Amino acid sequence: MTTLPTYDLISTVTLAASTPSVVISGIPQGYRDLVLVSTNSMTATDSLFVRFNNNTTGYTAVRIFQSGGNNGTPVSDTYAPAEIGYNTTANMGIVNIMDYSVTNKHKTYFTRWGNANGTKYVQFYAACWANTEAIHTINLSPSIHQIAAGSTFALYGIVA
Amino acid sequence: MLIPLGILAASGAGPVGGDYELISTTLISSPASSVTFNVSSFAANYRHLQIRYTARTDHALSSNNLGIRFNGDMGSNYAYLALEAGYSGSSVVSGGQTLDKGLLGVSAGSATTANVFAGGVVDILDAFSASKNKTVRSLSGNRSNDSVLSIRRVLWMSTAPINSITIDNWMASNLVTGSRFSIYGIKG
Repeated sequence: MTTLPTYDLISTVTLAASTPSVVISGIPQGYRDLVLVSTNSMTATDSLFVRFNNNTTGYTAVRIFQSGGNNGTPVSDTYAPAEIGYNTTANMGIVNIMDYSVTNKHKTYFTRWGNANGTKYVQFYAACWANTEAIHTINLSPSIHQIAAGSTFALYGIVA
Repeated sequence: MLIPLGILAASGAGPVGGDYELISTTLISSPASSVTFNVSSFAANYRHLQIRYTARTDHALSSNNLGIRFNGDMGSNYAYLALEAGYSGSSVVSGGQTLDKGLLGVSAGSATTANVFAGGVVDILDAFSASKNKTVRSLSGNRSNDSVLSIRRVLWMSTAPINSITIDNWMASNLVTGSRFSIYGIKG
């Protein structure tokens, strides 16, 4: 059986200045899954949301999160869109986007992120974008504030 | 900041390294009760395995579970631990009992909105070790009309190197067309 090396770096960026959003566009369609890895911070505490194809509707998510350091108690709720950062320092997040190039499925994706500075968080999301479009763009933006300089985003493609 | 990839990216670019490799993909084209991967020939190549899946079954529930067995072992040699969130908002920690297969992850069922498939990423660590019981970790979920997010650990109480992996639906129903299971080898 022939194996195929994969997990290819598609794009990486480090912000030289703060910005209200990061848009990764023109994503090649030759992979099956995408993985987005980020270290990021906000200019003020604010959720860094993950959206697709410049579309702001159709997002749902369920999450487990723990906050408050060692005494935090895991809580679960529904909160959408899924996020990969919140604090003003050192958020680390990974997004797995399954079957992103398939056009007969709603898009299922997972995010997990954490921060051990300030108000400490660990969060896991199972999320769905109720749209059968192939994902060609990833939109990353907070609600009000900006993504801080020094934040990094790396996008990988995985064949199947 | 806009990052256009039409120039920067090579669409469907060839592989840039050999430490994470696709072994095979099974794409369900007609209802199937299970999926099996035979991996014995890869023991010399990889240390860990990863399975990435999107799954939907014909079971009547909106969400149900996938099971996993190794080497055809149907004995009570599996244990699991799960941290889960459901649509009701409750966190559940469950597990501990010994089962005849591992409680692997979540699949969508027939009551789920059309075109929704649950997804999962499963890591099988030291899969080919002959001195360690096998540990599996999974992150899976289904966010639709019945939502589940599940973080699980499965223990297969055997030191045998893994030569086959069988995934099926816990509730004895079928995986439907469009479900996809891909297995990758990771060097270490």
